[in-house]
Amino acid sequence: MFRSAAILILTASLGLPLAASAAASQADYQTAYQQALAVHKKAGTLDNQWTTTGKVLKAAQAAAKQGDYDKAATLAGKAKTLAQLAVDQAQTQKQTWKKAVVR
Amino acid sequence: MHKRVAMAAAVVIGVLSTGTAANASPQQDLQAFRNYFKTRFPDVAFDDYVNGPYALDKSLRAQWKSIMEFPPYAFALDEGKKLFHTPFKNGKTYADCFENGGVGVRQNYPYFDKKSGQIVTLELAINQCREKNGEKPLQYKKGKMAALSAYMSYMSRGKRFDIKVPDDPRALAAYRKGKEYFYSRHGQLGFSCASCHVQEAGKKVRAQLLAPALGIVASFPIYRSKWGSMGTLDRRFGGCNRNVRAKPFKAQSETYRDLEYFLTYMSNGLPVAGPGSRP
Repeated sequence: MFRSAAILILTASLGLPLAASAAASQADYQTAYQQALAVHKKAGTLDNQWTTTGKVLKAAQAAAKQGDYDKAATLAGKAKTLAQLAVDQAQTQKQTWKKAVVR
Repeated sequence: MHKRVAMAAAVVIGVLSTGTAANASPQQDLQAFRNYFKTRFPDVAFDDYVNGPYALDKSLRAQWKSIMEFPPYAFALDEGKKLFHTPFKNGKTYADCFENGGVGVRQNYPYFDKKSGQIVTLELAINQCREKNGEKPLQYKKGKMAALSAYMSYMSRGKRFDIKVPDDPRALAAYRKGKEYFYSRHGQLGFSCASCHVQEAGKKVRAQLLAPALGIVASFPIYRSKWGSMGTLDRRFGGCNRNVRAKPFKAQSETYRDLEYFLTYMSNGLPVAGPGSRP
């Protein structure tokens, strides 16, 4: 009995924060979206925005419009990753392009 | 010990040669570019590079020759001729804006303009002419602009490209920016212009045979079967960017003009062959 109650309490204490983090709010989405947009803009200053990032950002906006903030926040996170990869690519290419020059 | 010294020397030479190629003069780049393609495709005559994929594949060439019995750009040429000779509202024409009345000038574009410090392409010069004469600029990618550019290229056919990088640090900077863009990988797929048109030239991406970068600009503007219409280099650059999932730049952006400057310099000595026809 005591053991069952302990397991129940433990499960509940683990489950609550999990449930809270699983359901993204509008605020969560907006934060994630703004972060992704900032990195995407940085890629733009490096002349290297990816079309894929723009599409995923639009999809995030569309999901948010439908009230699906879970999906919207996930897509915004994906867009941020893509944008960061574009930034990394541009920064790496500042040096590596030289290796490709015909000589 | 000797082995270590030799290895260190090899690393130093490697680093130096990388730096040298990146900072090579335009003349050195041109020579290296020509040598690369001569070695890569020893059976292709120098002038034949203006024909892009048709210089490399007999079957494609045969199809192209059949198509050219009734060139698909013929309508654009007629339209371009009419536009070129139609006076603006102030009575002047395009011929008043260009050297030699605009005939036989294509081979000198793009050029570095000392006054503005910018690269001026033929299409930009066409719009500058319009604005100077009180007309609205045309859109750069297709339509009337492609028709005018096609007619002016046609009137310059056979003239050999003679792009100059004058002794001006701004001109050299524009050339180098174009060169850096050409060799830098972009987009989610991580391709550079050179990936397709230098390293993989002559190979296929799905059904498309990749044209060599040498002479690739000489036939522009082109009628492209995929488009079903004419297009300028701006249109093609944008398409290439989208293909590798990189966001295209605006038509006639500094990036595209610098890229055209570098690429056309690499085609120096080849004859103007525009307008062209491509799959």
